[in-house]
Amino acid sequence: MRAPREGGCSPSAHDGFAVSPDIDRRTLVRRSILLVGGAITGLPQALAQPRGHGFSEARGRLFSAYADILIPATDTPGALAAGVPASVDALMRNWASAATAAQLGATLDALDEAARKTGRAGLLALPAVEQVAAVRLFDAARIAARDPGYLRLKDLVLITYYLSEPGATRELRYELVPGGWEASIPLDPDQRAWAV
Amino acid sequence: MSFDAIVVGSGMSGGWAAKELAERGLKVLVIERGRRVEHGADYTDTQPPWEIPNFGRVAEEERARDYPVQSRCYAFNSATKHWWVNDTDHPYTTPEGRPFSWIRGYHLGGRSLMWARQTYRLGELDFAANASDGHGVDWPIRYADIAPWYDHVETFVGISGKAEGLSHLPDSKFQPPMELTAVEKHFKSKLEATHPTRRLTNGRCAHLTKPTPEQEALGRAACQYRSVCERGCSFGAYFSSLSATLPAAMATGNVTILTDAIVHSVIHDPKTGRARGVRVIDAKSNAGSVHEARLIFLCASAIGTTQILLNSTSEAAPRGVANRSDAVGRYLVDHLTGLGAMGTYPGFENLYYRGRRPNGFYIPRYRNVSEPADGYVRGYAYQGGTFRSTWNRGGAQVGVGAELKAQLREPGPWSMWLSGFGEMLPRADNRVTLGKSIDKFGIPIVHIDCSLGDNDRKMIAQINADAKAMLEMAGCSDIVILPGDRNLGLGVHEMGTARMGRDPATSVLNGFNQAHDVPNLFVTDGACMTSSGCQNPSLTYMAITARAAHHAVEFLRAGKL
Repeated sequence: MRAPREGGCSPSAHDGFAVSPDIDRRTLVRRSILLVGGAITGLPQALAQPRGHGFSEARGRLFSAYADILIPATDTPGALAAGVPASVDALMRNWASAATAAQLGATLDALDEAARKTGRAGLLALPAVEQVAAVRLFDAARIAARDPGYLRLKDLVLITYYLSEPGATRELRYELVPGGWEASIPLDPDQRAWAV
Repeated sequence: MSFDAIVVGSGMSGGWAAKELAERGLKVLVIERGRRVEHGADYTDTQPPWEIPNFGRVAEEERARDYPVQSRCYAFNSATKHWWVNDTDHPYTTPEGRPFSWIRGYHLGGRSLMWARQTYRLGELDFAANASDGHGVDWPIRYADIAPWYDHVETFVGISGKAEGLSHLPDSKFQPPMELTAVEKHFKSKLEATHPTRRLTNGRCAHLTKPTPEQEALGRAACQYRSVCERGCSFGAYFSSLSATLPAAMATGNVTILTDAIVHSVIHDPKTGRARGVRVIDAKSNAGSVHEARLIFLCASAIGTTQILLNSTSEAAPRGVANRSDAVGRYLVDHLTGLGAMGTYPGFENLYYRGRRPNGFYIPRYRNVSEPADGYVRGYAYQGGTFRSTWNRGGAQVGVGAELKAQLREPGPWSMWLSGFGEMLPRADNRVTLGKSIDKFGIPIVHIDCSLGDNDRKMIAQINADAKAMLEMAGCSDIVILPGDRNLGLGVHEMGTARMGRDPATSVLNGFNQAHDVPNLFVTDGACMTSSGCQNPSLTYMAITARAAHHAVEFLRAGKL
């Protein structure tokens, strides 16, 4: 009897995004394994069994930059140290539908395009300070517009960060086995929220 | 091997039937259509969030393809997916425009592993409801008949809750309640001051808070406040067939469990008027077999049991065994759920909590009890709770970088939710029938036709209005009405399709859950419910099952079966 949850993500239809660049990349990976007579053992599972709708390399780099700006390293690890890019890559391969992948890919493209308009260059080509400014502008505009693609993208970063081990246990607090229920305890200003 | 009794199904009711019959010395065969699973070993409750596949998300394409029905249940996620049936493999049909979500788990223990664990007795008001307002037939039992059986099962199950002395929501045999938060206590005092006709109490749930030696002997321990219950509980802290009834049943040495065995039909012997046994299809090989016993208990869940009864046709019973009344399959009800409201509760910023309470609070029914209703009969109760929002509020608000981290490091404001559970009236047209097509086991698939009536719709309007008004009274802001767009069936309280009654012409079962027409055939799952009350029904299924098992053995010993 916990809080009623949101209905979950319902993929909205999206068209026009071809996943072929990514398929090409996976094909290349497979070929390179064959070329070196590759033993499959020891490979990360995502590479050994390519499937799903992972970001292209370009979008992957864009995503990492976005995640790093959204949740930077401070006195605790940020998104990169918490493995957010790898977690989201795995989600794209193992969870996302084609429609979701297209929606999120298009959102990343839109972020890059917005950076180009305001900063004269794609996000990755901008100086660090301008990257942050571009993401900040994009975030404010897309949240104000309730853009479903952006809401999902931001959500994915938060989920994979705050439910990662560093996010849950160093940035926030998490107890695997609380062992008891304390219904009302004082909250000091420096105390952190529970991750779950 | 010969058996005295066959129990079809191993969930909430089947576990109890097996235990009670075996403890009275009967040799019992439990037939479960799903796979065998092991308490503990087959649970996924020890993983932290970062080890849960896809952070709890089931692959979208798989979800849409194989779990379009099951995935609408709140407890469905990547750590619990294995408890739900694959909808592709287990089809049923509904009429265009009248969806019904049939939520199922086919495995040993059934839905007792996935249930929400809220436990409330029905009261005299509920057992007398049909007789007093004329909807449905009269229950053949009253509260006094079942009260000792509530005592009996609660002592074994372990129910956390607080005694309130309400006659329409009788107290259980309680273990200590799970404490209310400061906000809940504040809300309780404001509610009871402004509405002396309403009460707020601690949620009552089948969790151990002070295990008895009997419970500890079964390997069960107190609740650890992890709130991962739907993944199974390795501590055995919440009641399930796997943690409690089946181990107790097996300890008698009298029980044999057959899994992956789908009961096709009951074999009726026209010469004796008795059920001779059941036809079974092996779920793996599709091979057929027959199992015989002197006593048959159907505990396959309301719709599952209905499917078996309707499929048990013979020359003597062309529309299904024990169905002279034509009531089998009719009077399907669920609870009216997914209703109510939530809002932001003011104040209390300096207070928090520790642990994850798998429970909340409860506002017992007051409509048509202590307050009139807005043009309908029966009533509803609310489950509710409070929490402080966490990082997941961040996805919808503007913010980037260190400032976002700093914001989300602090718990957000308090939220309160009120979730109504309304009683649906039994109506003959709300009906489960067998369709023309068959499943891969050669069994006709069910067709479920269920919709709301006028009384139900009026009640829904007041459930939402009252929830909003109570949150406003408490000073809440940002109040949202829960969408209420859910299909029937998502209450997962489907019942009523082989109802108990006094008259064999209008009901299927008598006051002992014995088929009017087939004295050695008993039905004790949700199908037997003559009306539903607004309380979560599992506790009543348990008590009714234990009572029926007791009487069945008495009848057997007296040579009446």
